[in-house]
Amino acid sequence: MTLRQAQGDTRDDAPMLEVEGVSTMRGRVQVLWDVSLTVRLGETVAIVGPNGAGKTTLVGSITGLLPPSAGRIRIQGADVTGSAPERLAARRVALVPERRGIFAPLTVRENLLMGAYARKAPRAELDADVAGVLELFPALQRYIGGIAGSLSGGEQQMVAIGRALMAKPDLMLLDEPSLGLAPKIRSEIFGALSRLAQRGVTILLVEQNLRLAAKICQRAYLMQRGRIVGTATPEELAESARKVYLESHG
Amino acid sequence: MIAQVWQYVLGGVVDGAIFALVAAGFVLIYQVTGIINFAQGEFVMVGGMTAASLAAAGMPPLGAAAVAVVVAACVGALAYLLAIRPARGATGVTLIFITLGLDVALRGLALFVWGTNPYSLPPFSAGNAVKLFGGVLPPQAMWVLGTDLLVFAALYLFFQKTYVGTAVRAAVANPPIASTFGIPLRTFAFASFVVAAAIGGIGGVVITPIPGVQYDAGLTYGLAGFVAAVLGGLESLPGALLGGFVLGIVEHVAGGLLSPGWEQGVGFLILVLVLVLRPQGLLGRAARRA
Repeated sequence: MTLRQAQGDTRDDAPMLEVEGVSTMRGRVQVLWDVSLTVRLGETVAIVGPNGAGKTTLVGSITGLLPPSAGRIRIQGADVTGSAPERLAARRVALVPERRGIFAPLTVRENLLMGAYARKAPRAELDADVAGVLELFPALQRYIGGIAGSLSGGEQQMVAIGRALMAKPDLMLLDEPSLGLAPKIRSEIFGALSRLAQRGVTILLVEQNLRLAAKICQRAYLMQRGRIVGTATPEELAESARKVYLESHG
Repeated sequence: MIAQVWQYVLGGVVDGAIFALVAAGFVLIYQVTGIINFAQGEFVMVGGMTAASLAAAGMPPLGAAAVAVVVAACVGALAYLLAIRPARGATGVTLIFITLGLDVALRGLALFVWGTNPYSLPPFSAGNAVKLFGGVLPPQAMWVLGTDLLVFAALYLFFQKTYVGTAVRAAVANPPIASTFGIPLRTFAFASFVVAAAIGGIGGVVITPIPGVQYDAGLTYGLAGFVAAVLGGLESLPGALLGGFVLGIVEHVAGGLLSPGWEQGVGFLILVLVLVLRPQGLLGRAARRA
């Protein structure tokens, strides 16, 4: 894969997310080293890299779950470094966590409603938003009153994405949304993500599957061993995915 | 013989109702914060002692009861703010020792304020004993059972039918992810202590007219409530209700048939059996939260 230092232009130059020189520790181990990236308003940006590259730690640092030990994080220009996750939720930052992280004992509907907790919206508005999520993921309609923990992995992923959408996010962070899903479900979910991107939702996507990432992102950062080591276009990601496929299939 | 056992059962139901309230406090705090609050029984004592001493000073019983519940809730709030919150991030064992220390401190404070004399509170309503299938219950027992019903119904409605209650369940299910959606974990932790203390205080107020109360009553209620909570499953409010009644009845029947000294011994025997045979309790889930 070709590495590039410069970015292509995007729909809007206003930065939604700026990560500047962030270093993060997990206990006594430093996982992120001087990580910097920018996501502009309305962009879909992917972070790709192998297992253990620090992608999930980076998402944790952005959402306040793992405050960085150095560096700055800005959302729409406001410094949010080390802010509690609750405060970031108020800034309309929504997370679709790795392995979904749904509220297993709650119903699908309750899970979706919890996504809107920070909005303090009236009930009628929330009901309309739930209907909007069901439009995006019609498969959830029949399980709406069912316990979320009893759903399949793909359905739980739809709940997790729907829950994040209920926050009406300005910035949506997705951590490995394809992980552990059957190919058919993956394409359904990435189809929905693609429609969201077209609606102008700003998305930061952490993904190991280069082919899927290439389908929806406008550009990508490459991470290795806790560092950003370069950037790539969707075409470069797709080409890299093709090479990996050919190598692994002889 | 059967009539005698039935009378012990009725007595156990009344005690069990209070054990269930204390157990509900244990469960509430444990679910929301992961802390086993061994000072829970002291909230019963604070409620009972405050109501009894205010009534003795001339305040109408219902007014004294209301003030006592507020005082218990305030003690719960202070306990969280002064003892638990500063230790957030501490290990589970450290937090257990903190609540044990809190228990001793509250008992010592009660000894300082009220002394060693027992206090009593007049029953909330006059009338004859209530007859039930040949057994009898004091009129106050109806207040105790009615209070249990109201408290558990209110908890059920709050958790199952309200938006904030659903948010508390979400926070219990997955705290870090809940926080990313703006669900305020610390506020809920504080509220769990306040509500658990208020429930304990309510228990203290309604039970005091039957056995009376003194400064060290919280220890007994706390231990019984803990056993009831473990028996029902530390994460289950219906389990707390069931555990409270089972413990109350078994203790009373054993105490009546063997000797009163056996009551607590049987309670702890049940605790050991549950921990060995069914550690998740009667209604608890096998695994810890998702």
